[in-house]
Amino acid sequence: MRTKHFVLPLIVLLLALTGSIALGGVAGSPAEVFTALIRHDHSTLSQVLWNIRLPRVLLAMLVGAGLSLAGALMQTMFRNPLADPAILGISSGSALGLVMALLAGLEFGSISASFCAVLGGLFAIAIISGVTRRKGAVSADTSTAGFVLVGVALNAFIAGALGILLSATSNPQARSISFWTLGTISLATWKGLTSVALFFVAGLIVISLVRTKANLLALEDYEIRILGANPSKLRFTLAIGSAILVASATSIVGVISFVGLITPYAIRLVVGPNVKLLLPIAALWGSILVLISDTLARTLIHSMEIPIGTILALIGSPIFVWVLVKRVRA
Amino acid sequence: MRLQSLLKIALLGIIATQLTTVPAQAASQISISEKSIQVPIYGSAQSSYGKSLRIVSLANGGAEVIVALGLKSKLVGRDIASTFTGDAKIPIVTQAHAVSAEKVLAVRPTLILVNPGTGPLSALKQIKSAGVKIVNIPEVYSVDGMQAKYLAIITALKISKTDPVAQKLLNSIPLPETSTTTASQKPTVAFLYLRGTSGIYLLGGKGSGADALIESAGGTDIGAQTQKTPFVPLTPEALVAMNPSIILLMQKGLESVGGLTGLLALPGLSQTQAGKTQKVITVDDSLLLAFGPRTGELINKLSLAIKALQ
Repeated sequence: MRTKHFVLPLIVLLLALTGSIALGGVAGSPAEVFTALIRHDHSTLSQVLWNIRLPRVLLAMLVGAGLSLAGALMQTMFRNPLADPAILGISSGSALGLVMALLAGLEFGSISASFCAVLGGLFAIAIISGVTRRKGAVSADTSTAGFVLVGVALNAFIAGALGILLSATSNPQARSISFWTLGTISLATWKGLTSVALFFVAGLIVISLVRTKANLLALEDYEIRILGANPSKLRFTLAIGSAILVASATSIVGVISFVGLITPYAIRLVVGPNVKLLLPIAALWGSILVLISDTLARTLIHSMEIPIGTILALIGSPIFVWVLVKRVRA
Repeated sequence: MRLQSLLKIALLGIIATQLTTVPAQAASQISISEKSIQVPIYGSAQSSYGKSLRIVSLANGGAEVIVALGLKSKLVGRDIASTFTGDAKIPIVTQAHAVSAEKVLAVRPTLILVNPGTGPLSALKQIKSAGVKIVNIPEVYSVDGMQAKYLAIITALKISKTDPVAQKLLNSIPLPETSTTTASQKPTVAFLYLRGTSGIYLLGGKGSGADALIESAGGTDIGAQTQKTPFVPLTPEALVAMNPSIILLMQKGLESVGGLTGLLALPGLSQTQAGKTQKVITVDDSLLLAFGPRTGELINKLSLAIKALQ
C-alpha cells in the first residue's frame, strides 16, 4: 500500500526534472543537453546548465518540498486545512526577519541571514498560536474563516512594516517589493542552494524528533497527555521545524504562496491524515508543483521571466476559495 | 540509519559542487556622467509671450531644450528626471515621478509642457482648472523624433521657427550614422534596466531609446534584435543566449545592484561575453534617454566608449 503512493510521484518528478533540465532560453536537443551535462566544459549550453539551470531546478524542488512539508505540518498542528505558511503570514514573517537582517548588514544567502528569517517565521507562528489559542487548545474551536482572518491581519501588518523598511532604504540587498510578494527562483546559485539545503536538513531533523508522536495532534490536549505526550512541546517542536523550512525557502526565493496549502490538502484526501505517509508524499508533490511552475515561469513566454507567484496564484487561489466555501458551508 | 547516510551523501555532494569561480580579468568600465556634458546654449530666443512667461517642464528632456534656447530664466519648475549641470536652482515639482499639483501651482507657472503619459491626470486637471496653459509635447525615444519634439516646444513657447536660436537648435540634431562598418563587425551591446537585485532584468529592447543611441554610436543593440517591445523581463538564460559583448546600464541601475560586484553576481551575467570581460558602460540616468541638446555629445562619447571596449 505504501509503495503505491510513492511510485507515481517519483515517476512524475523524474519526468518533470528531465523536462525542466532540457527546456530553457539556451536551447539544445535532448542529446546535446545530455552531452553538455556530462562534459561540463566551456560551451555556452554546458555553462548555462551547470551555473543557471541545474541550481535553479534543484532549488525549485527543495523549496517546493520544504513549503509543502511546512504546510502539511501546520495543517496538522492547527487542525485546519487552510493553514498555509504564506496565508497565515509565516512566510512574510520570515521575509521581515530577513529584510531586517539584511539592513543590519548581513549578506543575502548567508546562514546568519537565514537564521534571522527563521526567527521572523517563529515570531509569526507565535502570534498566530497566541491569537487562536483557547483554553490551552490551539484553534480546535476557532472557525476556519476566523483563522484565515488572523492571517490576513498579520500579513497586512507585516506588509506594512516591510513597505516602510524597503522604502526607507536604498540597500540593494533588501530587494524589491515584488520579490517579497510574488517570489522568484531566478536567483538560484549553488551557494544559495547550499544554504537552503542545510536548513532543510536541519528542519527535517527537528521534525523527525517528534515524527512518531505528530499524529497525536489530531486528539484533544487532555487525550494527548493521557497517552503520555506533552502537546505543547509537540506543537512547539513542529512550529520550529516548519519555521526553519519556510524561512530557508523564503530567504532565497521570496514569498511563494499556495504550495503549502494545496499540495498537503490534496494529498491528505488521497493518503489520509497519517503524518508518516502524508509528509513524504506531500513533500514529493510539492517539489513537482514548484518545479513545473518555475519551468513554466521561465519558458511560457520566450525569454521572459514571469514571477512564479503569479502562476501559483492562478492555480492556487481557485482551490483555496473552493476549500474555504466548502468549510464555511459545513 | 539509511536516511542519515543518505542525507550525509547529499550534503557532501552539495558542498563539493560549491561556487564556480569567476576568472579575474582586467575590468573595463566606462562611465559617462552628466557633469561631462554641458547643455549647449545657442543664444537667447525671442518668445512672443514676453516677460510674463514662466515655464514648468514635465516633458522628457524638455527642460534642457528650454535651457538650450537661452530661456533658463523662464524655467520655474521641472520633473525629477530632468537633471543637468546647473539645474540646482530650478525646483522639482513632481513627487517621485507623479506630478504634484500643489508644487506646480506654487511656482506660479503660465505654461506647462507635458508628455502624453504625464500624470496623474487628476493633478493635471487641477492645474488646468487654475487657468494654467498645458501643452502636450511628443514623447520621443529616437534621434529621428527629436525634430518633431523641438518644433513642438518652439511652437509652445511662441518662438518663431525662423528665430536664429531655434534654427541653431534644430540644426544641432545629430545626423543618422553613416559608418560603413558591416553589422557583423559591430560590437553587440545590451541595455539592461536594473532596479535592485530582484533577479529580474528588464531588457531595453526595440523602442527603449537606448536602441537608437547604440545604433547611432556604432554598436548593435542585441536586445532590439531579439525583443520587439521595450523593457521585457528577461530570464538569465535568455541573456546568456543573447551573449552581448558590452552591457549598457544607467548609473543608478548599477548602484541599485551594488556596483560591479553585484552586477556580476546576478544570475547569467557572468556567463556572457560582457560579464567575462567585465565590459560595462554606464550613463547618468536622466542623460541617457533625454533625447535633447546633450544627445549629440552623448552619442559621440558612447561611440568612443564602444570603440575603446571593442
